This record gives sequence, C-alpha cells and structure tokens, in this order.
Amino acid sequence: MKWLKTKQVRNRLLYTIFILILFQIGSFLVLPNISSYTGGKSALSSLLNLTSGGTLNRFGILALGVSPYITASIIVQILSKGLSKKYTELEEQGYSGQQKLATYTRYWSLLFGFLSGLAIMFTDDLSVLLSVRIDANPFEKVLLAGILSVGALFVNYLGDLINENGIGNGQSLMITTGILTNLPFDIGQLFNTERYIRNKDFWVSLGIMFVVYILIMIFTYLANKKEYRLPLQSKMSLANFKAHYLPIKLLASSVVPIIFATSVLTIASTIATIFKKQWTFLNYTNWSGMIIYSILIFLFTYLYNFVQIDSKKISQDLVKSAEYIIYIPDNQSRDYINKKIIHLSNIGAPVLTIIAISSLVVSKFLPMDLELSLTGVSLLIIVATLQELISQIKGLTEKNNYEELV
Amino acid sequence: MNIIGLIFILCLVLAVLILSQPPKQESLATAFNGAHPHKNRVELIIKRTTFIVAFFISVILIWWQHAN
Repeated sequence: MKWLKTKQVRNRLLYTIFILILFQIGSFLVLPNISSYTGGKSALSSLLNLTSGGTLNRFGILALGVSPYITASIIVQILSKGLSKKYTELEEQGYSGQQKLATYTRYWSLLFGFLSGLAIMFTDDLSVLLSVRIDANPFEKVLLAGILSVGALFVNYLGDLINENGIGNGQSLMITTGILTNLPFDIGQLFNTERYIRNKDFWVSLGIMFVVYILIMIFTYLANKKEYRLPLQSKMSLANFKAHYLPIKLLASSVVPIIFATSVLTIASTIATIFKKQWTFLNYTNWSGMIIYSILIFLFTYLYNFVQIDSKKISQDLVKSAEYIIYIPDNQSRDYINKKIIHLSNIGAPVLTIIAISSLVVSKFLPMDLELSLTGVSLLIIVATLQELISQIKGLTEKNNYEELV
Repeated sequence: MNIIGLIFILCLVLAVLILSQPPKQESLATAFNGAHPHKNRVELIIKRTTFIVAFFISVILIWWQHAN
C-alpha cells in the first residue's frame, strides 16, 4: 500500500474520484420538458448508453456523455494522419500543435453533440427508442439540443481535468464508472422480475453468463498485457551494446476499434430511425448485425493500429537517437515496422472481435434471454481502463519514491 | 423568458468559458518532475468561473425539478 502513503498519488486519486462524483451527480440533473421512462431495451439504446458513459438512460443535461467527444477525437486523429494537410501539419508541430488539435476536437465534439441532440429532439421514433418523452415546441427543441451539446462539452472538460490533474484516462474512467454504476440497477431489475426468479432456465442462463464474463475478463487481461518487442541496438557506444527493445502492444489501439465500430453502427441506426427504415442488419443482437459488427471491428483494428503506431515517426526517432532495429538497415526500418503492425493486427483483430461478440453469441444459445446490458465490450473497457490506472499509480509511486529505489 | 431560454444562455456562457481554456497536455518535463503545468491568474479565474456557472445551472435545474 505504498501508493496510499505517496502524497502526489493520493491527491491525484482523490481529485479523480471528486471529478467522477461530480459527473455522476450531474447525470441526474433532469432537463425541463423532458422526461425519461422505463422502456424496453433496444440494441441502439444499449449502444448509445455504453458510449455515452451510462448517462443516456437518465437523460439529464449530461445525457450525451462522452460519445460526441469519442467520435470527434477519432475523426481528428484520422484527419491528422495525412487526410487533412492542416491537421497533419499541426500533428507534426509537437506540443503546441497537439494542443491546437485538442481544441479542434472540442469544437468537433460540440458540433456532433448538437447534431445528436437535434436528431433525438426531432425524431419521434428515436426518442421512443431511448424511452424519452419530449414536450416542447420546435424552437425549444433547438435550444434543448444546444444545451445537450454543451452538457457533452462539459463532460469532456471534466475528462480533461482528470487527464491534467488526476490519474488515469479521464474519458475512459467516465465510461467505466458509467458501466459500473448502472450494473447494480441492471442486476436489481433482473431479480425484481418474478417470472424470471421462479424459472429454472433463468438460473441456468445466469450461471452460464457469469462463467462467460469471468472467462472474457481473464482473456482480456492476458491479451492486454501481451506485447511484441522490437529489438534495438545503439550505434554510438559499446557501453550500450547490450540489446534493448521497443515494446508494441498486441492490442495497441485497445478499445478504440470497438468504440469506432459501435459509433458507426449507432450513427447508421440513428439515420435508419430518422428515415423510418427497418435495417435489421444494424442490430448487433441479430446474426447479420453481429457479422457486420465483427467485420467493422476487424477493419478498424488494422486501420487504427496504423494510426496509433506511427512507423514514420518511430523510424525517424530511431535515426535521431542513433539506434537501429537489429539486422534491419535504417532505410528499411519503416517498412519493417509496417509489416510488424500487420502481423500484430492479424492476431489482435480476431482477439478483439472474440472479446466483443463472445457474450452476444453465447446469449443466443441460452435457454432464456436475460437482456443483459453487460457485454464483452463493457468488460474490455473496464479491464483496460483499470489496468492503465493501476500502471499509472505504480509508475507515479515509483517516481515519487525514486531515492528509496536507488 | 422561460426556463429553457435561461439555461441555454447560461450554457452558451459555459461553452465560451470551456472553449477559452485549451486542454493542457502534460509535457514530459512536468510528467517527470511532478510539477503541475504552469497556470496564470487569468486561467485560474476562468476555471473557477466555469465551475460557478456550472453550479448555477445545476441549482436552477434542481429548483425547477422540485417546483414541478
């Protein structure tokens, strides 16, 4: 418990908890002329609720949660990897350029929040799907969409405060607390249903799902720790002759491909609802939806691994620091890293897909449909966020007790 | 002015305050020496005002919830 005795770790942890409590309290603040009711769960509402950080089912001022920010940050990251000249230049400018990109992400998230708000306000089918009753005139609906978008911006601001003064990744922690705080309500709802408890099939299904959840968590934990070590050697001195390595994680883009796939399905489902189309292939609880969801996760893993691991920058940095990948000449190091990214994605993509859809597939064969909102995606987010939090706490504790270590 | 209009105006103020504070990313120097990124007095005032406006919006929403 050395970390508890370290002042900086303790203060950062308390600050993080304080911000997360503020976020949870804020999610209960209801907006005028809008009321939410307990309705049936749809695939779309579950998806939206997951990416918002669990705030959507309360539909308060912070209802949109982190989902506009996630969409915005993914788009900005992709634009800055060569698709937009301006964004790419900012990315290459170092600290000041990245700060500008972070500000642009906020503008984008404000826009996405406003568009999502408008879609919810003006599409009756969508508001029914989200179990929301809106009693406002068109002008008030536009104002309410604006309020929701600022609510999402405030959530993003709170996340940035955690990144700045707290510990762990703010936005991921918000999604995690959202999943964890909704869990007791979901379990309570499950055991409150009389017809469930008296049924033997209910207990069998619950037991199977419990085992599946444990297995997913163990699998996620192990996969998240796996890394490929790129062997490096220094050109400069014999003292550094001993080979060292550059680690590349198997799940380098972590949950991002899944969140991106989820966002694409959510946007497409929202558009389908607005235009009153019944596109069942967008529902990931159907077999066709599951296949599309898997293909999206697969493709986004390859795409986002290339976004996340910048082979050009790594090879340039190796030259600058007078290092090289063993047996690979400098001019071939970029191609070599790209090949390794493809090899890692060949393993990482199926692993991520298995984590994301295994609980959905198993639930198809259960004797009773439990309508659980907890999926492999939620578990992956929880495990990955907590692993990162623990490693940051460990790192900060070691840094603060460096003299003792020496 | 109705309640939605009032909250919308306060939200506009909140948005301006948030957007005027660029997200601070921890530099390598601050990450390793444990110091906080430097903040000047104006930045601190804007940060506090942001929380005051957010608090004010919450109070109005809670009051409205109890009144209806």
